[in-house]
Formats: sequence, structure tokens, C-alpha cells
Amino acid sequence: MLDLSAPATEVVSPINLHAQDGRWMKALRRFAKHRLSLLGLLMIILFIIGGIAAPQLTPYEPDGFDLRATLADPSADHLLGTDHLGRDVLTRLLYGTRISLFVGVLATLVGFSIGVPIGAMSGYFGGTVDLVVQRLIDVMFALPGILLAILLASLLGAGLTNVIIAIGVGGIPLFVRLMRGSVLSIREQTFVEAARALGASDWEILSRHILPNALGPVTVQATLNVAITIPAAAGLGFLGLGVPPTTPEWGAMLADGRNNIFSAPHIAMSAGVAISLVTIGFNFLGDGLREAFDPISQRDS
Amino acid sequence: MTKYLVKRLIGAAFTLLGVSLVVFLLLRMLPGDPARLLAGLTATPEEIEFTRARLGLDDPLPVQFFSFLGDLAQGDFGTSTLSRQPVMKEIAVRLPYTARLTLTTMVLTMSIGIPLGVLAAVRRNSRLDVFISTVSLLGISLPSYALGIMFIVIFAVKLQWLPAAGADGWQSLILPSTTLTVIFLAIIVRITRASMVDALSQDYVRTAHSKGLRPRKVINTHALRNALIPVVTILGLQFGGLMSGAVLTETVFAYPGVGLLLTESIFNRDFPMVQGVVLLVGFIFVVVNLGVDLLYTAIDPRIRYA
Repeated sequence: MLDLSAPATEVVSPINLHAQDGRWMKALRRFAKHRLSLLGLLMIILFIIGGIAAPQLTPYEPDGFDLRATLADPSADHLLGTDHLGRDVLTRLLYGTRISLFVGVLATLVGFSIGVPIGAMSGYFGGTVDLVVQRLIDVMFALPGILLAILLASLLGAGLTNVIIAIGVGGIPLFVRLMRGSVLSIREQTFVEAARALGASDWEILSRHILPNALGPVTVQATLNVAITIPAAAGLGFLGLGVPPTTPEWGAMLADGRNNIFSAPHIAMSAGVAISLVTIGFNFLGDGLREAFDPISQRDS
Repeated sequence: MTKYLVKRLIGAAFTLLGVSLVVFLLLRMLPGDPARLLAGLTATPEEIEFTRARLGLDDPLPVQFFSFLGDLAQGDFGTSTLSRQPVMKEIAVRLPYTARLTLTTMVLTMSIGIPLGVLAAVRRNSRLDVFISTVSLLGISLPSYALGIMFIVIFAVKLQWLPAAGADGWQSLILPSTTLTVIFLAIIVRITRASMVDALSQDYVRTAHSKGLRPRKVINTHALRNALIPVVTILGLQFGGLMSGAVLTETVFAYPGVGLLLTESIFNRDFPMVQGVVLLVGFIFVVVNLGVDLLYTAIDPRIRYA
């Protein structure tokens, strides 16, 4: 897929706003061509609609139990069956979408809003700051995300906020490293030198000239990061480290399903498929965005 | 080479120190009385005070940290509050299971993933390539525990071909290791493909072709050898992911490795054990990555680290 409209060499000029627009438009066009990422976007939109419209889509309450119909197989009344308390599985999955997306996005924001400033300063100032930050990041990379999350969540105790913190922290090193690399390459560009020559302070240079240009790849990473935080949050829920027990949370549903896997395998299967589908959606979307914004990794002919 | 080795060793030592410090601080800075946490759920007030005195939890933090390090250096990772056994002793019982699982996964992943990645790169942009790449992306997207549960439903509950849980013989290794392989396969396929595409476009590959070597030989000895460096790096970095994947996968399959030990310990609020497992995984990760760095020199003779 050779894009004939693209100039042979792209002139990157921050002064020429029109060129910037062109780059974004081109990225958008590349993204639209990426069929898998459109599919991913569609999947995510469907999940969002499902979560928002849950009360309209289902006649049941997420915690409305019915002890006459426990562990019921899927039927016309209960499309995905019921769990051990007779609660409608589909209803709980729909309401669970809200929690998963909420936790996934907020945890990513935690990692982003702590990691990006640290990474920016580490890349911009270099020297001792950079050295200390890099050593810290090495340490964090040595503690695999989910393990750190498990440790934090078990110490902090159950609860939505604690899950968000426990998982968000694991994303910090990724954002620091990415932002640092991004800033390092921009720091040496002529327009930064020009700003410095005009007497701009470090703060002005960082916030007005470097950050806007460095945020692109980091933002793409944020989308991909949601594909990590959502299953991680559900993983904590699965281990019993998530939200309180009655909450309709996917990971906790999966754990319930595992306990009843021989008598009612549909519960585990439904929760497993839901978690997988939303993660696939974000991965497809993120993959397309990455290719769209990073022409080097583009598949050329 | 020696200089490089020393530098890397010092770096690794610092990371180990950092990992210990993070774990140490987490347990002491977060809400809750560390003496109560480390003494266990059923501890009497006397036992809590005994733990406080034994670990010197009233001492200033730096003093505590150095005695903590001293214990670690002697292989003392604390005492389980559940079994009252040394943490290391229990981990040593479980470690062979996890080693078996992760090694099986590594072998499966490499022996399937690298050929698939090479195939995708050689037949770049063909239908086969698109298929392999799409399926890989699907694999990366699947959370290990969700895939594991789905495998149990299909192969243990519905088809009844394989055991759903436990570790009796090689049959019970099939589902857990396949689960982990599906996920890590995807990563290795993608990296191998990208790296091979890059290697195949190099001048030395063109030279090899033009001097009349058979394509098979060019791919295997000229391109692949060079393409393997990033693959090995990723394998090392993925090792952490493999360990955390193992935690959840072992829990799903009730497979008695270190991962299941960790979840059991969390459930029993056995904090010395949780701390011990996390430290151990961090240590293994650092050592594996040090080993990977040193492996480069073996794969690529151009890297000599003068």
C-alpha cells in the first residue's frame, strides 16, 4: 500500500502549522486503512454502549439474585445463564463493563500523569537526575507489573481506588522510558535551540516547545496500555484482590465461574470471552494507531 | 570485556538492592502495623511484640533495612506466618514446578515462534504473513488466566481429554504450558518477523544471494543469526512477564508452583511469604537479563564490549 500522495521526504517544521495538520491527516488516513484497528474501535464502542445502556438492555438488576434459578444454563430468559446466586450473567457482564473500562482508563491515567513528567525531566535535564531516574526505572522493570500490583493491592486492601493505584503504578516505568526517549530526540532540534537563544526558560521550553511534540507516541502508548490495565485489573479481581465481593466485576465473575466450572462452565466462559474481547479491541486499536503515527513501522510494499 | 562485565555486574547489584529496598519500604510505609502483618493473622499480642522485637521494627528505618539486607544475604527470607517454616524452604519445594512450566513454555515458544516469524518475514505481505500477524496479535491480546479458563472449559470439562487442575504427570503440564505458549508465541513471532524483515534488507544478504548461495542457506545462516539478537533481548525481558503470567496461570490450573504459592499466601495474608516470592522473582529477572546481555557476545561476534 504505497501512499503516492506522500512527499518523498517529509519536512518536519513546527513553525509551519499546515505541515503539522497534514501529518495528522495522513496519520488519520493511514489509521482508516488499517481494518483491524477499525474493528478494534468498533468493539470498544460496543462495549462502551453496552456499559452505559446496561439498565435499558437488560430487565435484571446486577445483584438481583434468584435462588430458584441458580447455575441455570443459558436460555431465552437468561441468554448467558445465571450464577450460583441465580444472578443473570449477561447483566453482570454488562454492568461489569463500566468497572473494567473505568479502572482500565484511570489506571492508565495514573501511570501517564506520573510517568510523563518524570520522563520529560529525565530526558531534558539529563545528568544526575537522569541517572537516578533510570536506576529507579530499572528496579521497577525488575518487578513485573502484575506482581507489583498484587503486592500493592494486598497491602492496600480491596477497593476500587486501591486497584487503580496498584495497577497504575506498574505503568509508570513504561511512560517514563517512552517520554524520555521522545524528549531526548526533540531536545536537539533547531527550534528548541532557537527558543533557548531567544531567552526562554527551561520551563517554557519544556511545556511549550517539547511537550506538545513529544506527546504523540506517548498517547498511542496510553491506548495500548489500557489493553494491559483492563486484564490486569480483572486479574486482581480473579485473585480476590479487587473490588468488594458483590460488585459485578469481570475478574471476580471469572473466579466464581472457576469455582463452578464443572456444574456451570458457561459462567467462566462468558467472563473469559468478555475480558478477552475488550483486550483484543484495545490491542487492535493501539496497533493501528501505532502504525498510523509511526511511519517507520508502516508496512510498505 | 572484563570492564563491561564488571560494569554490568555492578548495575545488576544496584538493581537487586533497589528491588529489596522497594519491597522493604512497601511493607513498612503503607498503612498497617508491619509487626502485625509479619506476625500473621492469628498472632497473639505477645507474638506480635515478639516479632517486633525480633525484626527490630522499632529501630530507625536505615538500621532495619541493613539488618533486612543482612538476612537476605544469608538466605533468610523470613518465616511463613502460616506454616512457621522458613520462606525459602517452602519456595524451594515449589520452584521446580514453576521451572518445569516456564522452561516447557520457553522451548515451545521458541521452536514454534521463530520459524513462524521467519516464514512471515520471508513471505512478507503474503496472505500467510497477514494471517500469522493477525493471529499473533490475537494471542498477545489474550489474558493468560482468561485463556486458561477457556481451555479448561473446552478440554477438561467438555471434551474431558486433559486434567483441569493439579500436577499429576505430564498431562497436567499440557494445558498450563499451552496457555502460556499461546501468549508468548505471539510476541516472539512479531519480534522475529520485524527483525528478519530488517535483516533481509541488509547488504550482506544481497551479497550472499548474488554469490549464488541457496536461499535457504542465506536465510538460516546469514539473516537469521543477525535477526536473533532482538529476539533474545525480548525473551529476557519477557521472562518477567512469563513469571507473572505463571502466577495467574498456576492459580487457574491449581498448579503447585511459586505462583500458586503467592496467591495462597495473599489469601492467607502470609506477608513474609508474599515478600519472599516477590523478591525472588525480581532477583531471577535481574539475573536472567544479565545472562541475556552476556549471550549477545556469543550470538554476534561484532559485539565485543571493548
